[in-house]
Amino acid sequence: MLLRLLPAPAMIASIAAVVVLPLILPSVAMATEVVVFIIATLGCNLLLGYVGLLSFGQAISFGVGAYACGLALIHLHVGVWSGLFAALICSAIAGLVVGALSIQKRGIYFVMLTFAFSQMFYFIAYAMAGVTGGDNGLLNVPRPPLTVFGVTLLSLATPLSMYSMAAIVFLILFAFLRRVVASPFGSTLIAIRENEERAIAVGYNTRIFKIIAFVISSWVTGIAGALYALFLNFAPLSNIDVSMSERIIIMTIVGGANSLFGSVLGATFYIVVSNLLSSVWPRWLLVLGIILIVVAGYLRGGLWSGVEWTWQRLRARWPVAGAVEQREDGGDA
Amino acid sequence: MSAEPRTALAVEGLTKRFDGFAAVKHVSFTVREHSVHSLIGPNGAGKTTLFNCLTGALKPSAGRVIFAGRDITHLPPHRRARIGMGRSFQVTSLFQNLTVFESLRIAAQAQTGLAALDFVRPKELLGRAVADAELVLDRLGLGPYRDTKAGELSHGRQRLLEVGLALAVRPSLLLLDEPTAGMGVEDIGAMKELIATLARNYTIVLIEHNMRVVLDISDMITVMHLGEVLVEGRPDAVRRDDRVKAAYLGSEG
Repeated sequence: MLLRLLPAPAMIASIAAVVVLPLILPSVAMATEVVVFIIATLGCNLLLGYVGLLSFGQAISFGVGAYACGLALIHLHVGVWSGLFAALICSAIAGLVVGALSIQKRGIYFVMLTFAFSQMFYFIAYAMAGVTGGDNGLLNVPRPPLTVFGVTLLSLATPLSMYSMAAIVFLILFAFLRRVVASPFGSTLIAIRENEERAIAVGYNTRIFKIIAFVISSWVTGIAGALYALFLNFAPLSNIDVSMSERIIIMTIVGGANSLFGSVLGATFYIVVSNLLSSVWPRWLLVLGIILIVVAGYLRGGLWSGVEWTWQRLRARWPVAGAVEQREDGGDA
Repeated sequence: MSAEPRTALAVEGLTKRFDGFAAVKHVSFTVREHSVHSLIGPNGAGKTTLFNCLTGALKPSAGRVIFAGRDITHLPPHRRARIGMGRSFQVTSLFQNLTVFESLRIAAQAQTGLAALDFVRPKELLGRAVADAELVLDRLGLGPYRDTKAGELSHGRQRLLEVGLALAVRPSLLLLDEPTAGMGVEDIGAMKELIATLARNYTIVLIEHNMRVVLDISDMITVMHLGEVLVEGRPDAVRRDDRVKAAYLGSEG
């Protein structure tokens, strides 16, 4: 029942987060990085949390999105919208190819296939140095002003304007994905996660659903990659490295797979902690490892389930006037 | 005296071999519309293999399966559900974390074709799936448990929902794989009545170990033994058949 009441709060919380982040974080740049990775994590969450597919293809989507946007801006001199659109199309196609081939297998073999594709795309990007810049990355990605029909909306020259655009894109995608998971299509994804054999038995061609989920997941993460390239004015080869997939998967799991707002928490947590800790202690990843162990062992729903749990405790202790619903958990009087 | 009853399902010379071992050997039978047709036999008789060929989980080595006049021998499982074959599982196979209502809605939604791929509008607006789920919920008397997670139901109610998921796909034929598996005496009685009631509107193929259930509600029984059809007949004929007795006694020991 609590989840029924969530929709509006989750959206409000996201808007609040977007407003507050640049104010409380040490720099607007860090806030931008947070928002970019929230988007990437949302894409991952659709596959991992809702369909239950652990794909290491996140880096492919992220990298392809970054290259597509960067190359379009550099060589075609297009605007930011077109750059983002190029990223969307290219990463959607990459997701279609990788998804359609990988889901032929299930379980561990599926995971290994996505891993193999991830390596393959990395080496393609590495080998095609003439196009991608190879090891040096794709340099000098321009950041033209954001225009609509010739009218400049945002210059994008300042860190805050860049952040604003990333934040708006995030809010749009967040609202979109919330609709996706509440739709007939999204409910089928959840059914596939719960019991694919049964989903087939009641009449679903589950492959089609998985492939479409792959495509949506991929273009969402691809847009994150494009924003990252705009933000850095540069698309490093590490974008498409399998370790990028690991980072995004960790953010998803730490935040809480199968809750979209969990992705907001997970990515924010990861980026902020890594930025703060890495400057004082080079072995900070150790801390992250411990946190992952705690989440995997004791907090399966990630940070989000921790928030939910606390929320329920608070409501049980201080019942809000008018709240008729009484939850029968926690025996403390 | 009645008109020739129509055939809902026909199995013709069906054979399934695994590595040279024939689990099902040249089995043929027909299922009349709106009848309860049971498949029984001692362990290892080939019932489950045969059942899996009917649901599409296994591909027969030879022979044909005809449903509603159409050869479906090589149709994949999800397509069979789409043309009106609902199935249940012997080992309860539910959407554990979904509520009873949502589980039924999902099953009903599978029949809505392209509408199930809609990824923008809320699922509640897909009225046909919601209405079909409500209907099945009522029919099974699971109304009080509509918001209970499937995994939290009692075993008996899980078995009911198991049949319910098969019902929600608007089937004309129900393939029920041991619906009373693991049930207590009272629940078995209720399940038996449910199946008997369903037989008015649906054709039912039943695999069942509980002989009382089988003998009470079947219109026709096919007894299998060592992969072949041993006897086929009405319940009272099967009950008296010496070959059937011998097959069951022979497998005890």
